[in-house]
Amino acid sequence: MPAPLIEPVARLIESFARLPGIGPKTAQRLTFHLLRAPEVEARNLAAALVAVRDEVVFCERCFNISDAPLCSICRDPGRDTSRLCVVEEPLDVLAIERTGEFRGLYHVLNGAISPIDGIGPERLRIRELLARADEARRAGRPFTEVILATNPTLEGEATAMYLAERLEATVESITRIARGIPVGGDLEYADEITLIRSLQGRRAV
Amino acid sequence: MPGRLYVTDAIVLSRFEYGEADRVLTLMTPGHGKLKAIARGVRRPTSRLGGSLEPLAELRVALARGRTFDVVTQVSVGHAWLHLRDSLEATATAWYLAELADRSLEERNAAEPLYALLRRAYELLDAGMAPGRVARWFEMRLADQLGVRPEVDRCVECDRTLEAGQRFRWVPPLGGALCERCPGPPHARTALSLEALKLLKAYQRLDVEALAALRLPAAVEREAETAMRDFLRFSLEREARSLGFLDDVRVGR
Repeated sequence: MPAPLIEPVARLIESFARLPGIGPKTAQRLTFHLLRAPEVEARNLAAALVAVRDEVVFCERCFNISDAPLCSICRDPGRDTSRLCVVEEPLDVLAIERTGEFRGLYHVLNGAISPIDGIGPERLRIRELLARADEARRAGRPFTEVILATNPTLEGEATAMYLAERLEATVESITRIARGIPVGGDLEYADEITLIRSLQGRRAV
Repeated sequence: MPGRLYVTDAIVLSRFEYGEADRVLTLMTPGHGKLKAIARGVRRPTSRLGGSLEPLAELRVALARGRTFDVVTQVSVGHAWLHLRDSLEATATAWYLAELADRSLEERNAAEPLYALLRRAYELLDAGMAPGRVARWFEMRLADQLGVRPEVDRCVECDRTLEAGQRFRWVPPLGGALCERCPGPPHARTALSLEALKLLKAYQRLDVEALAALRLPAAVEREAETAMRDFLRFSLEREARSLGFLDDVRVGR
């Protein structure tokens, strides 16, 4: 009969194994790595975990992660407040910010509509988005463009269609990010649906 | 012993994200019924499988048998039904039908009739048939396939023929319509108009072309919709989760 793990080790393995993408083997490896690593490494990790729970909140306006009631983007007076980019997750904000192409504001939905999983519009930050667009219109500064940058999955597309219908009356224009062949990709290996969508979205050069 | 590799037609019913860039898919296949398969690296933009492995398309999938999940090795799209995805109501209806199919299927049990039914329903949605009509047509045939065809011709209690001029009630726990003479159970019964009863009969007897051509008051369609939803909720023992979104989409019109 194998020797049982001592309780603190078993508890850490179990905690790691609850994280997305980490199975029992990886959880064991991470735990034993921390046991072997210098003590300061483990203590830094523990402190970072506590800080992320204690100090990180969701921005009251855009629902991106923040260390203050309003996130650094919403607080930045240099941003173009007439354009709004709607994304599914805070990580999508980071991805778009890395491009340096967009200087407007964001709205993070915290997911996408997936009825089969029981995720309807009421589970996302859609009500807040509609209120935000309506408030801007009432203040005489309607968004000139709302960019729907949800993922090009069935759920992301349905979310974008739903938002386009609901936002139509309150914003000046609604756009959807383009779909097609990734840069560096190869047409020969592209799937049929991506190819069809890229042909549908072709533009004059 | 069956070979390690096999190829099948499939429709993705649902999926969830797994690990760094993988997805676990619930596939509906004609010969193997419902099965779970993993698509590795499929969430990366450069994945060769990614765009194909979306729900609401008929795929030709090559799979390798695995211990927990079978592994998707190749995929090509048979029918993409892209027009269906351009309408929010059609998409929401397709989701609802996928959920009903998912609930009705056993894993690894051949499901050719149900596969053909879902495939035909998606074809009809893609061709622009009214989503509500497609949904009722699908629900009625699904009930047939589950062996719980609703009784709309004779009283479910006394077996007398239901005739015009009577008042009817809809009683899913008893399996259909009840005549005015029979008391039925004290709960779980709602009034059903003659027009709605006729429409339910039409869904049992007419082909889809004839159903698509029917001109009916919205109130009668709603009554038939409520009756079939109640019936399937009782038969499948749970309300479909995707109905909330479907109703939300239609309210917004």
